[in-house]
Amino acid sequence: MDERFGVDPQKIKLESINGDYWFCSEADSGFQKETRGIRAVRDMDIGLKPTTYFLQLLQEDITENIVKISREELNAFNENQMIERDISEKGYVALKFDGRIIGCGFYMDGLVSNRIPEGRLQELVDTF
Amino acid sequence: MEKYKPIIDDWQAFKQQSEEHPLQGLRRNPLKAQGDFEQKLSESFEYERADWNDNIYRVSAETPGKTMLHWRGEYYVQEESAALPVTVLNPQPGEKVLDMCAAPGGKSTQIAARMNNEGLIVANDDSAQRMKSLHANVYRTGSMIIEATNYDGRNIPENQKFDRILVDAPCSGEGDRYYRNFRAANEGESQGLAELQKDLLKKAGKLLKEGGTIVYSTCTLTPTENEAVVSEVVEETRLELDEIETDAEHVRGISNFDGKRYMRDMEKTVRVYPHHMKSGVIYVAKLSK
Repeated sequence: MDERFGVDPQKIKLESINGDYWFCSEADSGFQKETRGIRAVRDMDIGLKPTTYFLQLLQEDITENIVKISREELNAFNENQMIERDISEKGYVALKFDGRIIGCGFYMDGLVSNRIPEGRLQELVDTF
Repeated sequence: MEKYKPIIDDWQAFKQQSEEHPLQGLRRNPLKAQGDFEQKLSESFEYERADWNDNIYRVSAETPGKTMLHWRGEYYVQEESAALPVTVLNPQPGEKVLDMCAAPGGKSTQIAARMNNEGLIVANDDSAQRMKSLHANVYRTGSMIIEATNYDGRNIPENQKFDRILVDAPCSGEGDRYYRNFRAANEGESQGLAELQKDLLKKAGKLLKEGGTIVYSTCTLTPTENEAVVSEVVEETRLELDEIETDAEHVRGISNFDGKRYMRDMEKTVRVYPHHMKSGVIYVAKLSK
């Protein structure tokens, strides 16, 4: 997260649980539990992918690889289209809309694709 | 509801408000809300801030959940009165807190916000179905210190002790217009629920650290599920009743109703009726060990 998004590593401590990384309390009840905190990073074939919810929570701590998008571009994402951008390096990006980090995208070869879960993106578009 | 006339401070106002649409309430989530929150909010609604809690807003909207701010978890749609139990619980950063009946998560996420995501919250609910909404709200609000567990509250292991415990108990919901439309519950239903409520509150007593705090709450009017439950548990355990001080409009708990008497100390507890906040019903008691 520090290399790709410029987040101060002192600010986040992630715990590896079942192959993914979770943002959770350092304390643990020891109870049988369904979840502990929120899933922060998934280990994917193409690298470590931050979740949309984690990027939203980091918000202003993210300083690099932010892609600002317009409402039209958000609608384009919702129709499974990609948008054009020029970023130095392939990888995950933080999507920013109307002054707020809204989730995860992916940049490669001059194009950004959406990585916000489809249902959640639809819910966002429905608020317009 | 006529049977509750003797314990309602202003019967006409109560009746009138019960028939009107309540003001919608929303709770700002400082874990995610940005500095321009109010400016953005004003683009969607007219609002006013509650005078007893800086994070509670009253808005005039039919669908306050349909905004980007809500989508992003910058606020949680919640009846104003429902924010009182956690305000009374007053959780602090770094503490270990249990929410025994947590789903769908409104109060657990309110606790996380008050703790600034520092410490640990065990958000428990015995309904596997309702756990889904709890998970969704934990994620949306960024409440990362929440552990979600699925025990029958009466069977939570006792090897952990908590600084504060919220028992927002299952109840007959007489104050819930959507569930019951302000109709009184029958006494048999309330008696059955009261047994469960007493079991949960006694269990909370066993899970509480020395010097810790429990808040018991329901959204129902009947003293059978409120003062009677608290009276009996205080008499049978080492828990003590503490006086609630709040700026929220309310009346005090009652010491007798319909021929039944409760502890005199019940005036330390709080009743909120729909006309107090143009919101819902809530009963709140604060106990300590």
